[in-house]
Amino acid sequence: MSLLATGLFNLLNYWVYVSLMMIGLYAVIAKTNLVKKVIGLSLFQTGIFIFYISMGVVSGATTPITWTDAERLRLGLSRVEVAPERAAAALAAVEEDGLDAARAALGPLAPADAARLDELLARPYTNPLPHVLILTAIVVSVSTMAVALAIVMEIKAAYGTIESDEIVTAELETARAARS
Amino acid sequence: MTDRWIVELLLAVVVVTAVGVVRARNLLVASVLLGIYSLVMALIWTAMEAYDVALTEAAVGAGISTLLLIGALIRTGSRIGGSKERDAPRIDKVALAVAVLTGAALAYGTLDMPAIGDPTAPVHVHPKVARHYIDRSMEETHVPNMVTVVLASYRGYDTMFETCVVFTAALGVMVLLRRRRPPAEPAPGEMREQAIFVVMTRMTVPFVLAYGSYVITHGELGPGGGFQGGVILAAGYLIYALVYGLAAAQRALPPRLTDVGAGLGVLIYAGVGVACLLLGGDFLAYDALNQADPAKGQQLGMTLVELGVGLTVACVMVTIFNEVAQP
Repeated sequence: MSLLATGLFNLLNYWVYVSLMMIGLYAVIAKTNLVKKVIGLSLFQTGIFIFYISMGVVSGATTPITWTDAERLRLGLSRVEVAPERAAAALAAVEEDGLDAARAALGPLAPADAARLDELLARPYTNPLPHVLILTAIVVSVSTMAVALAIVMEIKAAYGTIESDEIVTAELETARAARS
Repeated sequence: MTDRWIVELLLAVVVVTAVGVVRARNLLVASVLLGIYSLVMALIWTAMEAYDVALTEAAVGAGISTLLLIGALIRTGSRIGGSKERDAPRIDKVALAVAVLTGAALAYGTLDMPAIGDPTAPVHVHPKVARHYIDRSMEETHVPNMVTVVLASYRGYDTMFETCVVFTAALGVMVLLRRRRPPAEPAPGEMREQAIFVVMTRMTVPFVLAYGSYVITHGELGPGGGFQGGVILAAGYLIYALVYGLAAAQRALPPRLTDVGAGLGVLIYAGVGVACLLLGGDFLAYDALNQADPAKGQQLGMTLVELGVGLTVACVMVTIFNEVAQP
């Protein structure tokens, strides 16, 4: 892949977030129906969610739930060819002295297996902070949407319509009637 | 790299769905499309290794918010199927220009962002934020799920006020919509007479409720926590109310109880903070709950706080649904 194409691919998620926000913004401005405006706001919000979670992504990383060294080793050993007794020795060593000792106890491996094992043992975590911010934001967004919808229902009860331009016309007529 | 391609493909689906949501003239269609949009979004969160977020999105976006929208459509007088927007969709040139220009400015801003997945990006390397959470949370709290630790302990203040925002939203909906009206009449239910719905509901609701409780209490060990579990519990109530009717649901869970529960959850959260103060620590510094073993104190504090969050979120969602669905 050329450098430019790689660069574009690397930022693609961000442009999706921009597109979703702008689709939402368009709905908020262009649509007269108030429910549609609320939906537009909701689209706008999800765009921001994508932005945050994309920032938290780390290439090749796993979900931010701590794996102990022994758990990592057990998963790694299940993915490579290794004699059972050497695997047992490595699992015993990891309980005692940690990953480096276990790796030594395992002895030499086929190069492909060694690379795969090392990659699994050193697998990083994604950034937990954006996950926290966004999972609370999702619950807050449905609550605030409910308040917005409640206001829309009250507007319907008061004006008999949920089209914003008809509401403006009704208001203008009331004002005109009050003046004359 | 393959993971990234899956994500990009799903993102493309999401963008197309979003355009469909905005263009759909029938508001019912738009609401259902929005539910699909959220479900695809939950898949994206899974592909990006954000399981806690996916759990929340699946319960909230695809379940509760779709129901709220449909409820609002019925209440605003538009019969199902007839809830059309007045005008045929035409492109509003001014709005389009505003959106395109703002979008261009934002896209220009992203050019300086670090590439997605770059482990040396500033968000990942700051020693007091992400690095501290990833490297030291296990040692400080003995809780494997870092998302729960950050939510309930490191950023406990933030979460407390998020819970307050959710609670305040319920208050807002109550103030706007709650009237002194007779309790919901058992309406002539069409769903209740359909054996398949009734049997399926009877079989699934207990499991949904058990799963919700599990998610609330096991948030420390795996994906889950108060927010996720709370919305799942509420989803159980919603399914029951949809099939058996609102009156039956309110007999099973009186609104009086959920009113109290919503406040009680916030009170539990703040109460844990005050307990920490009384035991000589800082507000919400759970170490004080068990001086001999601070990690145990952290676990106790987090469990209690998550219970409070779960109670508030579940009760608030049920309250909001009750108010919106009440004819």
